[in-house]
Amino acid sequence: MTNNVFYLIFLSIVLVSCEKEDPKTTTPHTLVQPYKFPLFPKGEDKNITEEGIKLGRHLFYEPMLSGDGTMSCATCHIQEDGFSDKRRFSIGIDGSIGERQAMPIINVAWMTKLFWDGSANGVQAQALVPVENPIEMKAHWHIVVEDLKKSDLYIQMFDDAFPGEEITKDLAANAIAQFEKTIISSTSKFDKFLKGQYQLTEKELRGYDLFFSEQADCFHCHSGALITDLEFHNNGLDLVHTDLGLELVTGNPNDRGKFKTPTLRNISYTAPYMHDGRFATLDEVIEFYSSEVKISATIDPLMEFATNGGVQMSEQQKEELKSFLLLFNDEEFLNNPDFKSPF
Amino acid sequence: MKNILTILLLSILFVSCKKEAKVGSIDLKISHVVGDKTFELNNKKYTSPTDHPFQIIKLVYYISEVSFIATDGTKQTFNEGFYIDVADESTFTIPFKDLKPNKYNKIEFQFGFTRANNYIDYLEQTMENQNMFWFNPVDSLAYHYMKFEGYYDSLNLGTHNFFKYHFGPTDGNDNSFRLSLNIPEFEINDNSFQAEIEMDVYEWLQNPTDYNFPDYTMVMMNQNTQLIYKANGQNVFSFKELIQDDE
Repeated sequence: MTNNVFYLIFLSIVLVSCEKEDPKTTTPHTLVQPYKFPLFPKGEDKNITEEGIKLGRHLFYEPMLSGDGTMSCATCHIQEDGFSDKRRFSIGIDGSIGERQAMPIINVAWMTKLFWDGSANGVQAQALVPVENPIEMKAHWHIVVEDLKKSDLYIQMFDDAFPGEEITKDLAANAIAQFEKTIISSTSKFDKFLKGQYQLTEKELRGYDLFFSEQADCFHCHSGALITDLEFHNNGLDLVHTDLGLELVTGNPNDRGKFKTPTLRNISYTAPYMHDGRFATLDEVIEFYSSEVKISATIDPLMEFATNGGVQMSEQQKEELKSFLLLFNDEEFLNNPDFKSPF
Repeated sequence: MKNILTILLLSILFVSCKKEAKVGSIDLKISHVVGDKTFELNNKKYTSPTDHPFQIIKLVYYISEVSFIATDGTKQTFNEGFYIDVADESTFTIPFKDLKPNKYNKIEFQFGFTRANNYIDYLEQTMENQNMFWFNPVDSLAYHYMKFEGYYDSLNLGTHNFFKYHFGPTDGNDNSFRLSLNIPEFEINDNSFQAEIEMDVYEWLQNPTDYNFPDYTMVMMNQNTQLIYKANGQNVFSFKELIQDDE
């Protein structure tokens, strides 16, 4: 009898210990490098999962991330507006008005410096900032995390995306970054032109020549397939800089008035333009580069014709350039259901 | 029979013990000066040959098809392009592995790219390389050879002006050029060296043409200006030092 009991106990222990736990796994998501696009910066396309993207998409549209539950990332980064804000300055939960235009979230997977002044080192670092910004979402991450921990939906999605890990602000930002990295615009007419699938009209071709030559000289800053060099320039907006731009981050006076080059993708939809949204229309922007450029100590040497006020285009050239710029619009991107609110 | 087996075994041992040909490596290091002054970005401490005080804020360029020439005339060429950014020290040293055993006494390289190599897929599509695109209606997409930018003071007014010295294949012309530098003889045999060459940035502004900043605009669309760059570039590089790495 004693032997039998021992035998049974022994068997039970073996059985229990042999029972394999089914470890939860995630589904890797591969970011595809579109035609003619640059390589992803080292590691930026790694560690992205379907579950992480799904969670990030929910968080991107989640008002729980703001102090009073009224605002989400998507409040100021609207898909139909190229994930930017039509308002010159975004307005925070308590009516506070921001000081810079909301940058469009387009092709951020290639970016290692975000915000107009490059103050965020990477997409995840950027995603942390607006939540606690006192003139934006004005929340506290520890409270947001506590709220997320009370939500069955998020408990489940966090566990799916980061199995076995506790919900933290860093995981939340990581998931938002994963989603944002999938927000890729690569199906514009310009992309089709690069692939030989679209033939430029005569007018667009003349605009192309202006854009990519020293006549309008757009291409030095708006270069490559991203239509931005991702660098920082003083493009001659002001004689005196009230917003110091990159200098605020580096402390270097040589960086005064320098701001990150924005992409021109979806240019019709990302108005108003410049770091302070001072230009309401594309025509105003073209006029600025044609005749309103101002020289200050840090002006970029690429603004070669600043001494003449700009590149001095004729009215016809302005129209031609504009017709080419419109090729950067990407309707497929603007309507991509994968980027829309999941709620 | 036993003898045959012994011979066979010995032969096998002999063959397998035969040493593989030893290769070596060399790091090509590029340093920069401006005339008799040290190189420094964002410091208006230089004076141009036409007396303009100036400062450099950007200098990026390519060399390609680096060859090591042996004393017996054989040549080993690495058919790649290399991007150098004076703001990024990690780009100053270019490692060349698998250099065949020989005695070498010369380095050659192309400044920029020959027309045959100046096409998009010649280089990996990094952000740095995409920022060096050079568009023109003849060749469509190609690369700048060099971007050299900065500020200078006007002589009479002392005002702040800027220069853009961009060098490349204007109108589809191959303006790149090949440079050959003699170096002290060194023998590669399972060892490694570092050869340092120096770019004197000042040479871009003189010899044979004194470069007067205010005279040049829209330089990328002007083949005559590009030819000045090509001619001035001939004396920009010189050999500096050869060091054998510790065993």
